[in-house]
Amino acid sequence: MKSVSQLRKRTALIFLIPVTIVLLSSALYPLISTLYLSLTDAELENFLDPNYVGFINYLENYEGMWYGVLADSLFWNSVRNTIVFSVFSVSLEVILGISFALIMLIENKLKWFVRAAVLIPWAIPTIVSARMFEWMLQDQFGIFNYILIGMGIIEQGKAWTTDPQTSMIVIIIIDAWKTSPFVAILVYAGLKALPNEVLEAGKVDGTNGITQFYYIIFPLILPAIAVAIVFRGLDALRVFDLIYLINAGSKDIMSMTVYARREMFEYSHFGFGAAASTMLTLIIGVIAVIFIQRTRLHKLDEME
Amino acid sequence: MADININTVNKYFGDVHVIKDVSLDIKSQSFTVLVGPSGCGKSTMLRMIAGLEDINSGTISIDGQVVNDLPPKQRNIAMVFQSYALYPHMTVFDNMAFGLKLEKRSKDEINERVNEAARILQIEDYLQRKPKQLSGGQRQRVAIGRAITRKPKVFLFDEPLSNLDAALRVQMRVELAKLHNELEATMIYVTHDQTEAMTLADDIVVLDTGIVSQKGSPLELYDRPNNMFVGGFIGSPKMNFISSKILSKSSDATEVDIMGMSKISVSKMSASSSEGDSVTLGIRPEHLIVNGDADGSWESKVFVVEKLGDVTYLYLEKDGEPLVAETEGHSEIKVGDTVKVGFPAGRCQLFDSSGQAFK
Repeated sequence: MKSVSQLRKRTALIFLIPVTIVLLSSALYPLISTLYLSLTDAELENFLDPNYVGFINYLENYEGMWYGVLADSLFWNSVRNTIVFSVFSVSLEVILGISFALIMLIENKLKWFVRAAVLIPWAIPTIVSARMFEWMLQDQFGIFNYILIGMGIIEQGKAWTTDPQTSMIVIIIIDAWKTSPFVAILVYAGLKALPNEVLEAGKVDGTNGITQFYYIIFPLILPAIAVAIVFRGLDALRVFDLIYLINAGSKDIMSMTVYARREMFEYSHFGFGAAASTMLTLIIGVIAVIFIQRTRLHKLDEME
Repeated sequence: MADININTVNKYFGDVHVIKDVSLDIKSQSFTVLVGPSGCGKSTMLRMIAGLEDINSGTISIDGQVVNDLPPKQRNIAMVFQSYALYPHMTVFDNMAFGLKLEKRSKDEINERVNEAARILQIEDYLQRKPKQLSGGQRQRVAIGRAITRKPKVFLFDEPLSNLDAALRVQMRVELAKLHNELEATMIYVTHDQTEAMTLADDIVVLDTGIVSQKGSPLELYDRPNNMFVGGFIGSPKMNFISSKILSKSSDATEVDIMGMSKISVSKMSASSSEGDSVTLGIRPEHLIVNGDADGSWESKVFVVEKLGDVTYLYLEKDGEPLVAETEGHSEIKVGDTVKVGFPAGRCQLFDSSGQAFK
C-alpha cells in the first residue's frame, strides 16, 4: 500500500517526463553538440568527420602569436557592441515602457485607441520595421534627412545607418521603438494590479502625483519592471535580426551573434563559430545569473 | 474643534443617483456612525468627506471651511480603510511615518509621534516588520496608527473591522471606543453592522438608498424609529412586523387588531390615518411576553427553537405572518409546542402604509 504523498510524487514525475524530453532534445542536445563542435576543426569539407583539436578554437599560441576566438579583437569588439546595445536599448525601453504604461492608464474615450496604438510597433515584424527605418533614414531620399535639411540643421543627407558614429544609436532607437510596447504591457499589468485603496491611503497621507509615483507606485511595480528587464536584457544580448538587417558587415554594430554566424556560415569555420557561440552562451549566462542574483528576482515572492 | 457640516449634497455615478440631497451636522469630537445596507451610499458619503470622491452639488465644510475642492491632504483628515491599505513595501514604522515624512517633519518629531502611536496601540514590537508578517488584527492597528500619528481633526473609518474574526472584532471595538475618549477627535465610522453602530456611536445616521432615514442616539433609534426601515435595521434579531388594521382612534391612542385574534390600544398617533387603514405593527422579539399576561396576545405553534444560553429565540408563524420571540435561556419550550405571545402596548410601534412611524 503506497501512501498518498508517494502516489502524488509519482504522478508528478510522470507529468514531468514530456517536458523533460522536449527540453533535453531542443536545448541540451544542441548545446552539447555545439560545445563538441567547438573542440573540433570542423569546416565545410570535413563537417561530418571533424578532428578533435582541443581548445585551439578558443585560444592557441602558435609560434609566438595568439590565435582563437579569445584572441580576436573583432570578437571582443562584438562583445562590447552587444553590451553597449543591451544596456542602452533596455534602459531606453524601460523608461519609455513605463511612460507608455502610465499613458495607457489614463481613462478617457481614446483609451482603446491609445492601447492599440502602443502595441503596433511590437506587432510589426523586425524585417519590416528595419526596412522602414532604413528608408526613412536613407541619405538621399529619406524623410528624416529631408526634414533636417529643410530645417537647416544639416546641409546634406547623412547615411545614418552606415555612418560609424550614428549606426549604433540608430539601432538602439529602432529597437526601443519596436520593443518598448512589450515593457509597457508588463508594467501596465503591474499598474493595473495596484491596490486602489493603497493609492487612496497615499492621497490621504498627502501624496501628489510625483511623490505618489516615487514612494508608492514605483516600489510596487518594481517586480514587474525587473521581470521586463530580465526578458528584454536576455533578448538584447542575443540580438541578431535587427543588426543583420541594417548592416551585417559593419564592425561598428556587429553583435556576438552576427560574429558567430559570419564565422560559421560565411567563412564555414564551424569549429571556430561554435567556439564563438559557446562564449556567447557563457557570457549571457554569467550576466543573467549576476542580474538575477542582484535583483533577487528568484525571491520575488518575498519582495513585497 | 472640527464640526462637519454637510449641506444638500448630491452624488451621481453616471446616471445613478447615489446620494440624494443629504444634509448632516456632525458635532466636533463626536463619534458618528453611518450605517445602512450595502449600496445605501454610506461609503460614498465617507469618501466624499475624505475628498476621494467629488461632489456633484451641495457643500461639505470641515471646521467652517468649505472643502469641496480641497484634496484629501488639505482637509486635515485621516482615514482607515476596510482592507487596511498599508503600504506593502514599507515597514510598520515607515507606514506610520509616511504622512509625517511628506509633511517634512523633523526626524525627532516623527520618531516621537510614531512611537507614541505604537505605544497606544501596543504595536511597539512590530515596528520593523512588513505588513505581510502581521496578523489581521495587527495590520488593523497599524492602519489606525497611521491615522493617529498625523493628529488629524477628523478620523474616517470605512468598515475597519469587517475583515476581522468575530472575537477580534469585539476586542477592537472596545479599543476604538477607548481611543475615541483618549484622542478627543471627531470620528466618522461606516459600517453595515448594527452592533458596531449601537456600541460605538454617539450618533447613528441610518442611510437608505442615498437618503438619511434617521439620525439620532443609539437608544433613540432603538426606541423610536422614524420608519419601518430604521425599525427593521436596528436591533438583532430584527423587529417583527405584523399586518394590522386601525379599529378606532382616540385623542391619544390608536387601537389596532392583532391577526384578528386580539386588539391592542397603542398610544401613538398619526394625523393622516383613519379608521380601517392598513398599518404595520412593529415589536421587537425581546419585548414580546411568552406565556405571560399582556395587553394583547396571540397563540401559535413553535417551528424553531434557538438556544443561545442567555436567551432563547422562538420562531413562530401564524397565517403566513412570521414572528420571533425572545424568552429566558433555560426555557422548556420545544418545537411543536403552542405558546401564547403577549404584546405590551407600550413597546409597540405603528407604521403607516408608506412605512412612516406613528408618533
